[in-house]
Amino acid sequence: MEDKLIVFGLLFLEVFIFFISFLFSLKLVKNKNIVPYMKGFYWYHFVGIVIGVIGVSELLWIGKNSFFVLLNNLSIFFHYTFLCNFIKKATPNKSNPVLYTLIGVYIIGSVVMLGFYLNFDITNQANFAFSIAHFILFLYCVIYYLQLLNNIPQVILLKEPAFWVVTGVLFSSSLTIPITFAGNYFGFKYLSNYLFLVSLLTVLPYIILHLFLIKAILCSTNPIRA
Amino acid sequence: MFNQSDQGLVIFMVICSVFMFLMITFVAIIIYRYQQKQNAYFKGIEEIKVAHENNMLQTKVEIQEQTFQNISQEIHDNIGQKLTLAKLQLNTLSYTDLESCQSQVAQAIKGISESIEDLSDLSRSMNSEIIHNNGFLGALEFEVNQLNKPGMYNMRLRVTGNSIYMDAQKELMLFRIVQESLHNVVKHAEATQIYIDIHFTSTHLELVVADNGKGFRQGMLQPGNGLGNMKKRATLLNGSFDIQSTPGKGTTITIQIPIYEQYEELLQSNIG
Repeated sequence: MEDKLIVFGLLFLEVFIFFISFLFSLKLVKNKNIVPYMKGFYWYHFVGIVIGVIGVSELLWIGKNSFFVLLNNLSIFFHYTFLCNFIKKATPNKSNPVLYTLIGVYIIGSVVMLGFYLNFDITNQANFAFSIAHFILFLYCVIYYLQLLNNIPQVILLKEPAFWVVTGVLFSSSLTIPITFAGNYFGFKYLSNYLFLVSLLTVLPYIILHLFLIKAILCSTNPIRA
Repeated sequence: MFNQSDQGLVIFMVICSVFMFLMITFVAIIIYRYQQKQNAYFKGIEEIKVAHENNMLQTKVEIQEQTFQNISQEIHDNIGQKLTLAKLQLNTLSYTDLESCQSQVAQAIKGISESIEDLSDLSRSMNSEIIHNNGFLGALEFEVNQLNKPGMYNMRLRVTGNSIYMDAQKELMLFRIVQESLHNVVKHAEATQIYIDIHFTSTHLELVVADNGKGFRQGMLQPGNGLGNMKKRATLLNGSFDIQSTPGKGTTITIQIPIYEQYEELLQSNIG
């Protein structure tokens, strides 16, 4: 019972942080005084809210079914595509090799994810797709940092919105990959014995990501360029 | 009991924690390296700025010195010579021969008048009021009209494109370049036709001064002809300076000055 309360508390915290992040994202709507690559970033939150509401309603009223799994897979793919595109837009001074690498890696990731969706059983699709998506996002983050160091340092890094988004994605991906790996390795039936730990580990990357997104949104409305 | 799976889970948690710690360290290193690189970059820019300002100051001083030298030379070679000749003629007046005396006095008066005219021209050429009152194009038109008056030259001034705002100092420098080039044509070129073409684009001003004079072999110029001054002035305006000349086929001077930044400054000052 205690475990379930803690899990419920963690879920509530996750939803709360997401909601705060969503409220902050409203500052980006029709705001002309933000950096160009942050325009449209609010769609990440909007789509998240829609999918979240549909998913939770589906789960509560109908229970886990193939539509819920499809929705889950779509949300993973949207999360992956949106953030990859954002990092590609925000990466400074992309030369052609860097741009082609980013696009190529994205296409390979998408193809592999599609392969998992089509060939794996429905209960495992999300885990593998999650791992692939976050691995690709992790690579994108590394490429962004390398480009930062290889180009003229024109921006004040700690006030740059893209830096905070990418760092949030890096940390959340770094946690998500081993967690989903653990889920496949240990088996989820076994992990259900450690409900608190599993809940914390699944919620933590999400909370970290959204805290960094809040910071990025705060910086985007007042960017200081060197 | 601590079974194998529990052990695996603990190892896994340790690996996760280490991995997370490595990621945090990685980001901290990125921030540190970036800050170091940025500090070095800004320091480099400051040094370039200071060097550039020193260079510009030195160039301005050199231009000033050259200008003073030119004026000094003009006074000594031209005005001074004429006044000396007039003095000589007045000193050697023949009081017995009235006709000779009248001729000498007339020549002395002519010499003194020419000297007064030359001094007046020199004073007018140094005076920047004409620029302040009429702007660059107005001052240039005045200069062209002055040269056309004696009828020795066929001068043409052509302006194309939409003329754009330039601040007074830049207009003055540009005017001095044109003035110097016209001075060279009058003094050295033995030309009969002089063309001045000014073309404004959205980002540049192109100025071409061409004549049909005797030209010169490039690389064999004598010092003190003001070309160095023109080049320095063009450099101060962040522009380029090019001179093409062939013996017997005249000379063409082309100057390109960026004016976009001046337009941006004006926009910013209006918005502010």
